[in-house]
Amino acid sequence: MTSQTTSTAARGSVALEVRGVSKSYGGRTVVDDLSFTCQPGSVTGFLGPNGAGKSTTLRILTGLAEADAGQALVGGSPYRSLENPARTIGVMLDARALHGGRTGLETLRLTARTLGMPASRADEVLEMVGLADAGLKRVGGYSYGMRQRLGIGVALIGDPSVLMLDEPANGLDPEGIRWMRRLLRSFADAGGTVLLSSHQLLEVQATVDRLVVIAQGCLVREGTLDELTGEAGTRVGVLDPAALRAALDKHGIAYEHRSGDQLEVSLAPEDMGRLALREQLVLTSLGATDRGGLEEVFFTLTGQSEPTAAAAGGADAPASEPAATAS
Amino acid sequence: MRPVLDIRAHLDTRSAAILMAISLLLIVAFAALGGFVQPAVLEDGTSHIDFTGFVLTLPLSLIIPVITVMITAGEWSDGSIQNTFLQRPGRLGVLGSKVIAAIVVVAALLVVSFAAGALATWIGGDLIGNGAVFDSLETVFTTQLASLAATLLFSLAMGLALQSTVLGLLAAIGFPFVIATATGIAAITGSETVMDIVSALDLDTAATTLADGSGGAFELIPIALLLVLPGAYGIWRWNHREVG
Repeated sequence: MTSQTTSTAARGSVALEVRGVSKSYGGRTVVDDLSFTCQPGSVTGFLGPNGAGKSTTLRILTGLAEADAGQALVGGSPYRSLENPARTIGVMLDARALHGGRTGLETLRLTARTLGMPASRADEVLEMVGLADAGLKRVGGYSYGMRQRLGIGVALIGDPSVLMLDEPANGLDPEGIRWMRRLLRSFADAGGTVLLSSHQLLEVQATVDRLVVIAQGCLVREGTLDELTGEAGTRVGVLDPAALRAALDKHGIAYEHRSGDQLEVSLAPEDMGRLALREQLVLTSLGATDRGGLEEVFFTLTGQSEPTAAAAGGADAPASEPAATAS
Repeated sequence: MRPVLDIRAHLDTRSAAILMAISLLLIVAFAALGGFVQPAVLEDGTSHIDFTGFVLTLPLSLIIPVITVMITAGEWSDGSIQNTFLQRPGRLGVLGSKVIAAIVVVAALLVVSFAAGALATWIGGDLIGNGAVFDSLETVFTTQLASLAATLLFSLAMGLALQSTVLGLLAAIGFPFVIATATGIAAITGSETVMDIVSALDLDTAATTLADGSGGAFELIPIALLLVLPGAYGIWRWNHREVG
């Protein structure tokens, strides 16, 4: 497999913008006034628990579903108005959507022809995604990981400026995950824009620069990985918890209840000490909390008290969003 | 619209390769059956093109719906329409392209079929029997071809409206069979009302009646009910259906 997986030429600056997008199915709001952007030169992780609205948002961005309100733009234009969208944005939403009766090579050749790329690009991409030996095998006989690779190949074949991948690491072996991480990094370093939706938090932490976290269709946090994971609070114990809560409320400082008489406060320990002094509170304990990286941030931001099997990593299950397809 | 791309996308799959191979075998077999057997069973030992054409409509009335529904609805059923729309987001363009692709493939198959039929009629009549009769060629156009054209259009309408291979095939193959059976039952009942209702849903009879020039306004009813309405609904649904 080649390590240099993308064109080294500088990519055009194409940003993704979601502006006030809302979407409901049968009275249930799936995406609620969601706004965020993905800038060129960065890998943005798109996180949220099952049913948060991630897949619906990606479908709206790619014109596969229509928003009830708001706009989803690729380089300032709706996806469906792009003349040859796959030359601008490579998308892999579901590797199972590849036709099982076609060979891997023919899948890529057909895509190349659709996009107006030379047939030789198919062989090049097949080699790039590590399927050169399986090119003449029918996709129906591929493992899920091989389908993921082929799906990424289909996304890459138009040499786009933007990549949008939904759960790309599912089914990939460790070597494949490492390959994908390098691919996305080199793509972004060459000026490309990457939006990566994933449940695999450790993988996201190792790959992305920025994060967009949503829950119940709403944006709960957007920022760089460092901003989100570096926000440590303070765990504080006090003789009079009611007085402490009143003081925190008075100053508009966020806090969460913890066990016993303890609170977790969004202040640095020294600032918490100063506040206690000013408010004449007797502290029984004081110390910085360790958020434990992205996983802890994810569960805190999305209001999930403990990891679900899917969110804890390695989950293959797609987001359980409303059945958007009529059949 | 890029019908050549859609023809390639249809033909390069394993299922299509198997389908085309079986279709060609059936066409050759039924053409031979129609052309070669006639001299043996007809008193004058001749072979007639209209009879060979009639024999050929038997496999074609199954082959045409299968090909048409697979081209128009197949990608919805296997989910690959997602990639098609990601690469070609102009949905009406894709729809038009697939309709043209289906018509082209079926037209090519009809040309091959009737060429094989003509060859078999000539071999059966001139080389084996006492002569081949091509005078009745007009009958082939006004009956067999009109009926097959109706089959093609009804299959297109069902593929577009249902956007499912299984449902599309059930409707495209099953409905004409049900109507043919209902026509017989209506005749037995003797009720004109029942017969009119069944006739209003009999696209095959309407097509052949219109093709031979004897059709009237009544024959437009099955066209409106079975082609125009489901076709219009299918176009609307194609343009608005969300892809998961």
